[in-house]
Order: sequence, then C-alpha cells, then structure tokens
Amino acid sequence: MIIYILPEILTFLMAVFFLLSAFKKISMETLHKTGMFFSIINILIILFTINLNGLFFYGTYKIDFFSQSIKFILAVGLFFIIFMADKRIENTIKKNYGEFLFFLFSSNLGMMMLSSALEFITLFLSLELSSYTMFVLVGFLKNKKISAEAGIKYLFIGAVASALTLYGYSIIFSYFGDTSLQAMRIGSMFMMKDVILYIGFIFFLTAFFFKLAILPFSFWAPDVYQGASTNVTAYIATVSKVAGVAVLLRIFVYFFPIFADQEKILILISILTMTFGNLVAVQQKELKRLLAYSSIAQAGYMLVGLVMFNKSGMSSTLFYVTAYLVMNFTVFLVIDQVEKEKGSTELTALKGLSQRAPLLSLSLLLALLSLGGVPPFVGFTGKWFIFSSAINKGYLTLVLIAFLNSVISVYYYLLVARQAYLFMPDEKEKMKVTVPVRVYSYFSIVFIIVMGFYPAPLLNWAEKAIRYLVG
Amino acid sequence: MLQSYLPILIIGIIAIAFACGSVIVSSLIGQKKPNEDKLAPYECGNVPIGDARDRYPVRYYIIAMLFIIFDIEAAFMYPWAVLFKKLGWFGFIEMMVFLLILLFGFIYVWAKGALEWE
Repeated sequence: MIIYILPEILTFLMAVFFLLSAFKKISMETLHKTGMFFSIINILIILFTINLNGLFFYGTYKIDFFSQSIKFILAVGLFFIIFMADKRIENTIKKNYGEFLFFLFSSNLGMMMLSSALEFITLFLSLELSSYTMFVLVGFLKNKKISAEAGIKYLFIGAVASALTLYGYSIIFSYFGDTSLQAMRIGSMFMMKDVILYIGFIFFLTAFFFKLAILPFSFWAPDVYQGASTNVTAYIATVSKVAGVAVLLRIFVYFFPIFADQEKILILISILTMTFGNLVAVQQKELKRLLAYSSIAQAGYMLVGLVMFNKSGMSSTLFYVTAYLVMNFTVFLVIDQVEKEKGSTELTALKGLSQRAPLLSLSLLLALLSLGGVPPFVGFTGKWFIFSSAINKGYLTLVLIAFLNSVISVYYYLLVARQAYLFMPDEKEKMKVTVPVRVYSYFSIVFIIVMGFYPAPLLNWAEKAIRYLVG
Repeated sequence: MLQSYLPILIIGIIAIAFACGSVIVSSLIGQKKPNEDKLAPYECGNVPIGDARDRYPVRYYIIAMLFIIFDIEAAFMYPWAVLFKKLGWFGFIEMMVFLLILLFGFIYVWAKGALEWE
C-alpha cells in the first residue's frame, strides 16, 4: 500500500527535511540543488506509480491514472518553479531558502492530495493545506510593504472563501448525511430539485472558484500577483490553476445530475469572468497585474469547457490547463529574468528585449501569441477543443462571446510583445542568460509549436485521464 | 421537531434585546452634556499620557498563535484518552504520528527563537 501513496509520503518527508534544514547555516546553492534533486525524484516516483489504481483510507482517497497524472503535472510545475530561482533572488527568500522550499513542497503536497480526494473532509484539508502555505509564500518578502499587503489580502479573501465553502457544504451534508462525494452523486439523483440544496452547491463552489480566480471571487488576483515575488506568482498562476481545475473536474463529475439542469448560471459566470479579465487587462501598465487579469480571463475559458459536463469538454479543459502551465510559465520566466536585471516589472522594462536576449523574447512572443489563441500554437488548439465541445452542445452565443474575448486578449498580449520587439533598448550589451533558462526556452518553443500542430499526444493523454476519472 | 430549541431562541432574543436595549435607551433618554474631562479615556484615575495607538510588541501575537495551536492539540488528545483501550495499538501509533508532526513544528519554533520573551 505504501507504493500507492509513495509520492505523498516522499513530498512530506522532503518538506520536513527543508523545515529542519533551517537550523544549520546551509547556503542557498546547496539547498537549491537539493530542492531540484528532490523535485526530480518526485517526478520519477510519480511516473513510476502512474498506472496504479486503488481506493484507500476507507474510500476517501483514490489513486488512478487521472490523479497520478495531475500529480505529475504538479511535480513538473514545482520543478520549474524551483529551477527558476538563482543567486539573484530576493534577499529575504535567499536567507530563508529552507523555509521557502518547505512551503513550496507543502503546497504541492496539499495539491497532490486535492487531486485524489474523494470525500469532503479530505478535500477541504488538502485545499486548506495548499492555501495556507500559499498565503505565507505570497507574504514572504517581509520587508516590502506591497508583499505584506498582498499576503494579508490573499489571507482574508481566502479565509472568507473557505468559510463560505464550509457553509455551503453544511447545507449539502444536512441533505445527504454522508461526507463522501459518492453519496452526493447517488443522493442527488433521488433528491427533488430543492432550492436550498442548490444554494448550498453554489456556496460550496466558492473556495474552488477562489482558487481558480473566477469572477465573483477573483479580485484578489491583481494585488496578489503584483505583490508576491515573481517565482511565487508563477507558482500561483500555473500550478495552482492545474490543481483547481483538477478538483473542479472531480466535483463536477460527482455533482453531475444536479448541475446538468442549472448550468446556465455557470455559463453566465464564465462569460463575466472572461469579459472582466480581458477588458481590465487592456489598461494595465504593470506586467504582473496584466498577467493576473489575463489569468482571470483564461480561467473563464477553462470554465467554459468544465460546464459542458461531458468527456470532450472536460478533456479539452485538462488539455488547455496543461498547455497553459507551459505558456504562462514561459512568460513569467522572462519577466523574472528581466526583473533580476532591471528591478522593475513595468511594461517598459521589456523595452528592446529582442536586441538584448533574442531567445527569451522569441519564447515570450510565442507564448503570448499562444495565450491569445493565435494559430498554429497550442493555445489556439486548446481553445479550439474547448469551443468545439461548447458548439457541439449548442451554446453558440457563448462561443461568439469567447471569440470576441480572445480577440481583445490578443491586443494586450501584443502590447507586451511590442515592447520587446519594436523598441530599441537602453543598454546595448546582450543580457546574461544562464543555460537552464536557455534549455527551458527551447523546450517551451518546441512544445508550443509542436503541440499546436500535433496535439494528439496531449489530447489522448487528457482523454485517457478523463476516462479514468469518470469510469 | 425543533420545539425543544424554543427556550434557547427566547433566551437569545432576551439577551440581545437587553444588551442593545439598555444602550439604545440610555443614549435616547440620558442627558448629553459632554465636557473635556468626561470624554477623556479612563486610566484608573491617572491623567492619560500620550497616544493610545502605540505599536505592540509582536511577541504577544506569536505567543497567542502558538497557544491556540498547542491547545487544540491538547484538546484532540482528550477524546483519544477516553477511548484509549478500545483503539489499541492502531490508535496509539496514529496519535503518535499526529504528535510527531506537531513536534516538528515545535522544534522549528523553539530553534528559531520564537519562544524567547526578550
């Protein structure tokens, strides 16, 4: 049985190792190498367990291909984030690098448990584990006011979102009497369409919509993305979204009978999310805020795929969020490299990047075009799959609004790319780009182009995962 | 079915009505003759010196936070203690795992110096 939950046990032990390493004066480089080594071991162990199947802890914890592949993506995201740090990182993080890695690994552990949880208490515990560690990660730079403010905002809004989820769940529990999601699926088939139960479900979704930054609960995103250190922002923007989509997939599969009737409100929420995110992003002059609003809009697109409630919609959302991890991480990596050079994350900091770092700006351009949904990149393919599943269910207006939103988003993504390509830089010398960053840029360029033309591997994997989830 | 909870509702309403009512009635009926001495903050008879909005040492918050965590840990140990014999070895090992996780946190807090008062 240990083999099945080996990834979680290992992540826990690694997190404890980093916590206890805070006592000896270990240098940041050693901890950094140890962190990368541990995250690679994590990835390998998850690959080793990827085809296992089992139900553990009295039916509360499910290990199947879906949960293990989500864990694989989370571990790969963790590896990316750890490798993004180098000597030039913020001083507070550098001095407390052991604790920083502890929080990263614990957050990843929480998200791993989130993808396997089949029962409400496990789900809630893992959600809180991943959230609380992220609250601390956001406010990690104690000396900067903007980071402390972002941490406090994230904490308060997150606490209220969790409270609303618990309240909604208490209503649901009063109907079904059993905390497992399976009981909800069976019970909701026999339940009358009770208004109070429906209100309970809407409240229940609050914390999950908060995690994904979907509209009524997305106002934390700009301040938190701007205030946190750039690698923490990259973590929230990419890995946290994967976990949020995974848990929403599981919930929507189990709540299918009740929600199938009332999906109109979810469609309304996704339209509002897309429109709000895209329209406000047009005005932004600061890169991380712009990406925060863009990630709100992208969460709207992902929600479109989720509310179709069929295998094609769900697998297209899974495809899109995986591609989104690579694309978004590329953009954040470039922002991070520029911030380490120039110290600012304004739009104008990217001025002339194409002359100074051609590889980085090429990967930035491709990632931005792909996020905007320009063919033939993977973002276009992902959006195509989501919108075709929506059209197959007959939601033509929804898809039209989503197309308009994609067009608006191309404008502000190109605003960023324009800074890199159409201006001359202030300095003439080339930017220092380390080898790992180069390797990652090549990987992302290849991924974005190849998966755009030939999405079959990723799409087949997503469909296989959803088949295991549903079946 | 809910009739047995009716006395609790009545007590709740009376308590809230009494508390709010006395404050509201005294503000409506009472005299309003403020002067400087009456409005100054109460300092047990002494003349107040300085601003009331000082910066508090953060160690009070740290002690309160740590108290909550270890107090809840102790509270979880009570039900385990009640059913100790019935839970046998399995319950014992599980409780020790719980205590071990909190022990790691305690070691960290101690070594980082959060328990120092000065």
